[in-house]
Amino acid sequence: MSSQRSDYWKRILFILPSLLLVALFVLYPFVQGILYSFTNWDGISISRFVGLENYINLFKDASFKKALANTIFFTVALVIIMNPLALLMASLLNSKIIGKHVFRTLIYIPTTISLIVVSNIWTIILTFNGYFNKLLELIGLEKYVIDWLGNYDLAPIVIVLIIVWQGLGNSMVFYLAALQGVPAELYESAKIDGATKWNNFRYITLPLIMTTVTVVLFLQISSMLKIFDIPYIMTSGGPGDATMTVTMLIYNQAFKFNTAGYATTTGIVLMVFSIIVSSLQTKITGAKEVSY
Amino acid sequence: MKKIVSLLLVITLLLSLAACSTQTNNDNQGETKQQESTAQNETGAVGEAKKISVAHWMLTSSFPSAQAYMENVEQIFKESYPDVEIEWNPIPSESGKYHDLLKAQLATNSAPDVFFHQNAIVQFGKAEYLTDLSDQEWMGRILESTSKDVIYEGKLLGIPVDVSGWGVFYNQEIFDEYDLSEPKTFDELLDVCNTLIENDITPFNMGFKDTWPQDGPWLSMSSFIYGMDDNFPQELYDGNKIINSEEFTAMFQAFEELVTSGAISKSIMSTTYDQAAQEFGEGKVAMQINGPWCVQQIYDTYGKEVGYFNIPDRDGNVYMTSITNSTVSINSKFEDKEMGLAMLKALTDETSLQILLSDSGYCGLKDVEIEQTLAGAKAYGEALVNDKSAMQTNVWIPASAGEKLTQLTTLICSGKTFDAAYLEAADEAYQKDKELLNMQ
Repeated sequence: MSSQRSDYWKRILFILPSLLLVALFVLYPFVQGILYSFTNWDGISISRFVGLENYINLFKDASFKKALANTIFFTVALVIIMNPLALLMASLLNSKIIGKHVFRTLIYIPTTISLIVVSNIWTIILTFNGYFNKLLELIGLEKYVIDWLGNYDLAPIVIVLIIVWQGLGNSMVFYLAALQGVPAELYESAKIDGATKWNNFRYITLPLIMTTVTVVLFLQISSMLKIFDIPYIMTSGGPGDATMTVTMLIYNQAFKFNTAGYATTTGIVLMVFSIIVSSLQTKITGAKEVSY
Repeated sequence: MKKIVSLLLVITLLLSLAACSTQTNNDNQGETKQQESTAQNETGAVGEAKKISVAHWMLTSSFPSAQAYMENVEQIFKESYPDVEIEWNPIPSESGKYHDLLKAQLATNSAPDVFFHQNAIVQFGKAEYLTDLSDQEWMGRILESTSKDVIYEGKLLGIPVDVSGWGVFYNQEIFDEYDLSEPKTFDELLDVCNTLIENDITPFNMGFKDTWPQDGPWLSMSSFIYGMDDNFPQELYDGNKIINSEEFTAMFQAFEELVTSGAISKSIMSTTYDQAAQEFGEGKVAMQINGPWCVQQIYDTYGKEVGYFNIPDRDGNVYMTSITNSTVSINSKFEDKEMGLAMLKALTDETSLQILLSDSGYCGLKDVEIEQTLAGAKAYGEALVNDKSAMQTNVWIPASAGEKLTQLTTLICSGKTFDAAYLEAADEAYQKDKELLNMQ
C-alpha cells in the first residue's frame, strides 16, 4: 500500500512540471483572453470594461463576415477536393502497380516542406512575370496569362489548390493505412456474390474506413478554420479582401489596428465556431462507422 | 535505489526547465552590424559598462545614410557620456515587424531606452510609455502640422524627426523625351499617361506585393477630398460627414480611371517594392506614387534624377499632405532622464539630421532646414512650403478604416469596379475606433 502511494506521488511529481507549463502558457492566457474580450484593450495601455460591445460589433462587422465566408469557402473546398483525391491516390497505391513506392514518396514530399517555403515558391511561380505565365506563353496560350494571385475571383481558388497540393500526401497516408486494414476476404466474398467495384467501395470499403475518414476530416476542418500562413504570405488577404481569413483578421485587429481586446473577441468566436463545426462533423461521420 | 533514481530524474527535469528560460539575446536581424562602442567604467575596474539602447527601423544598409548618421550621433553623445555604450537597433528592422515588436517589448517592459516610432502617440501616450518633454528645448520648435503626431493631452511626448508624405515621383528623362510637363489637373495626368502608353512605357508601378505601398494611392489623392471640403477631417470627427461620401467616391473613381485606362501596371499586385523601384530606375516605368525616401535610393542605385508633383483633383486643387514619418522618444521607464535627453539631443542635432534626411526627408523642427541636393528632393521640399498643406489621411482615420480603403484600392487594381460597400465598412470601422485618434 505504501509502495502504491509512493508510486502515485512519483507520477504526480513527474507530470507536475508539464502541468505548470500548460497552466502558465495555455490556461492562464486563455482565461485572460476571455476577460480581455470584454474590454477595449489596445494591447499596451490599461483596458476598460465594455461588456458585450465587442461581441455585438463583431456580428455587425463586414470585415468579419467576409473573413468568415472566405474561411468557410477554403474549408469546404478543401474537404470536397482533397478527400476524393486522397482516397483515389490511396486506392491506386494500394493496388499492384509498378513503382508505387516511388509515387507514394513523390506525393508525400510536399507535406514535408515548410508552409513558408511552399508559399514563397508558389508566389514566385505564379506572379505575373513568373514561370507559370512564361510556360503558358511558350505553349501558345498567351491569352490566359494573368496575375493569378492578383485576380479577385481566382486568387481564392489558387490558394485552395496550393493547400491541396501541399496536404494531399498527409491525407493519403491516413487512407492508405485504413485501406490496408480492410480484410481481403470480404472482397473475395463480395466477388462471389457478384458485387461490382462500386458496390465494393460503397458497402465494404467506405464503412470500414469511416473511422479514418472521421479523423482525417477533423484534422482538415480544424486546420483550415485557422488557416493563416499560405494566404498571409502569398496574398496578404488580398486583392481587396478576397483571401482574408479569420485568423489574419485577428492578427490585423491585434497588431495593425491596435484593438487587441476586439481581436480576442474574434478569436473566441472562432474557437466556439470551430468546436461546433468539429463536433457536428465527428457526430455525423462517427454515426456511420462500422466494425466487424 | 529506484527511489533515488526517480528523485534524481525529477530534479533534473525541474532544473532543465529553469535553464530553458535564458535571457533573450536581442540580435539585430537587420543588415546593419550592431554598433557597440567600447567602454571602461571610470575607475577602470572590471564591471559592466553602462549602456543606452537606441532603435530605429531605418538604420540598415538599405538606407545609405544610416552608418554616417549613427557615427555622428555617437560622436556628439560621447562628448557628454564618453563611457557609455550605445546599443544600436536592438529591435530587428525587417519591414512591418519593427512596430509589432516594439509594442510587445513596451508591454513587457523590455523596450529600448530611446526609440523611434510612427503613428503611435495616442496609444503610447495613453499607456504612459513616453517621457514628457514639455519643459525641454524642443517645445517651441515643433512644426505646427506635426503637433498631432507628438503632442498628446497637452504634453510633448516625442520629437518629429522626419516629416514627409506621398506624391508622384517621375523619371525626368522620360518626361523630357516625350515633352511632358507636370499635370495641373487630373485630366492632364490622364493625358500624360495616354502619351506614355502610346509610346509603350508603363505610366505607374508601385509594387503592391509588399503591402505598405498599397496605401499610397489613397494617401496621395486626398486633393479630391480637401478640394471639396478642406475641413473634412474635423467634420468627419464631429459626425457631420461620413467616409462613404462624394469626396471619397470621387477620389476612388478617379483612381479607377487610372486603372481602366491602362496607366497602372498589370503586374502591380505581384511586383515587390524593390522590383518596382528597379523598373522605375531602369526607365521601364515612368512614375511612382511614393515618398521622398525614394529620391536618394533611386539616385544612388540607378543614377537617375526624379521630378515630383502632387496629384491634383479635376479642378486643379492641390493639397500637400504630410505626416510625421518618425518620432523619437525616451522610454518613460528609462531611469537616467539626463542621459536620455543627451541622446535625444544627439539624435536631433542639426548635423545628425542633415546626414539622415538629406535628399530623403524633411524635419519636423521648424528651425532646421535640411539641405536637398537632388532635384526631386528640392521639388518635394518646395511643395511642402508652397502648396496648401493638410493632414495626411491616416492621421485622421483609424487604421481599421484605412485598411478598408487599402482593400478598395487593391480590389480596383485586380480588375473589379469601385464598390461603395468598402467605404461603408470604413465608416463602421471609423465609428468603432475613433477614440484611438488624436482629434480632440
